[in-house]
Amino acid sequence: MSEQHDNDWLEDALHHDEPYIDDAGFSARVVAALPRRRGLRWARLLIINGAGIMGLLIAWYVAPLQGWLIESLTQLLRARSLADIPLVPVVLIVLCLWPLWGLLRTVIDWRSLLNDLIGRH
Amino acid sequence: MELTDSDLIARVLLNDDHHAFGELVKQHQSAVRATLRKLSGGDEVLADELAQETFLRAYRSLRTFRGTAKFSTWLYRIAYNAFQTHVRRARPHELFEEDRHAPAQPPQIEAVDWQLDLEAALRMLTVNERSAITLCYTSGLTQEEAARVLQCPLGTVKTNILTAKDKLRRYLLPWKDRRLT
Repeated sequence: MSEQHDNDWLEDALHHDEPYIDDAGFSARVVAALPRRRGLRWARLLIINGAGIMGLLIAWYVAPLQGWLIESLTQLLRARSLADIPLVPVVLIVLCLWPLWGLLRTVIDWRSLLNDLIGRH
Repeated sequence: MELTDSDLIARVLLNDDHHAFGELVKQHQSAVRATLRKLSGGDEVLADELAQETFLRAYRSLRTFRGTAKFSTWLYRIAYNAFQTHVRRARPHELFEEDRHAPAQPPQIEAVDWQLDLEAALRMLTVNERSAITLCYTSGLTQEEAARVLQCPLGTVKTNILTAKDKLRRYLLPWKDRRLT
């Protein structure tokens, strides 16, 4: 019995409840030290992708290649084998789709947009 | 309704919600700070610095938390790493595996305040013994969980706990027949 007590008293003592440590502003200090929020991410996406689309539209109206582009796109649509596919229109389509996909992502990320608009954390 | 750790983590990951992360800190700060206080031998200032570092590291690497272990266990792992880094920087000569810093004099045990006496006795242990005892008793981890946090074999944790308890039993003898308050 005594030997049992010799072994158990420390075990019991070590299992003694750890006192709760009061927060006392600790959490607030941690939050204040966090890296800045990805604020206005939607605005960044909007500006970058909007500028991309604007650039493509301007290029479309300014460059004297409209006829050639239309012809290439028609060729692309009619292509029946890989060898028939013209490379330039494919590249242009990718260039056009990239900012469109970016804009779509901005809309999908509506939670971030809402949070920023109403200034909620 | 109180949000679970998983809910709060999801909010942080989806919306970069600092408020949700603050709630996570509030829920775990006491346990993490208590563990670090024990690991650092009762140095509250150092423990709080390491605790802050722990939560900042947790925030930065929250995406790597896979949910296979409890969030608290994952936090203890980060806390232990922060402590280990501190020890290596502050006392590079002090190896974790060796009992180089154990003083010759036993601690002064007053048998008045259990927490103070326990901290004094813990300071007498090697870092590895102290870590094993702290994680298994203060933090309430199982020995398997402690082995994962300490990244060492389970057998090593068991040996360190046995050795540590032998020493603590000697140092804290005045507490043997006292009731803890």
